[in-house]
Amino acid sequence: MTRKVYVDGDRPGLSKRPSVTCGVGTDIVEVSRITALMRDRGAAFLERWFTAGEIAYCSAKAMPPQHFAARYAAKEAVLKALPVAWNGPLPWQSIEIVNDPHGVPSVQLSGAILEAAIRAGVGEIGVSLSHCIEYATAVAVVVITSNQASG
Amino acid sequence: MDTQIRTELTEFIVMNYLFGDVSRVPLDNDSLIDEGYIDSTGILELIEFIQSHFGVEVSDSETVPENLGSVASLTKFVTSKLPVGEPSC
Repeated sequence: MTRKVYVDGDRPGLSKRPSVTCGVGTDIVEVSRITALMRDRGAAFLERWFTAGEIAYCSAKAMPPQHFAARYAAKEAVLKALPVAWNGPLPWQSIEIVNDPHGVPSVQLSGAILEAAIRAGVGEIGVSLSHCIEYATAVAVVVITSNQASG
Repeated sequence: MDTQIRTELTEFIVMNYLFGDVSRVPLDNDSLIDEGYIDSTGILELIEFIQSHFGVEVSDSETVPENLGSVASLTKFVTSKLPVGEPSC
């Protein structure tokens, strides 16, 4: 038995969809290293690399370092997923991980990294975070719409 | 002073990221990230180390590869931030 596999809108009777590509990024962070940075540098460390919203969200948790580590992993994962060769200053304040009332995370870009993402044709960004006592990890998927990228 | 700063930066990298293995000491111009000496969390640790150990402020705009990418660039950056004639910690 053979089965035809249709790719990217070639199925008969369906209009061809616009071409879409994706970028994927992942990162893993040792929670103990974030714990040590928080212990040694305190609020100055958090306020430098995390937004006020992230600090409020993570600080309200029972084990804040795990949540800060997960957000740092997510920021790095997003940067890896973006189709951007970033050589500027560390953009961690400009890649914010926000959570809706149900706790679902999403990404808000701002500043120069947002401008670079728009120029590169980035449409949507999805992110997923996870952590245990020792490690935090995140995966980001960036949808790049070719129409925007070429425009 | 350059030599002392380079030595202290190298010691930090060896002790924290190379398990004390001095046979793996990065060359001055080796890329610390691209060649796998330190990871993304290590960059934050390195910045915090520079600030606490050498007493210099690293502004957001200075967190770029030209300043942090190698032992040579780190040494040059820290040296440029220290007052002339002032020894490091």
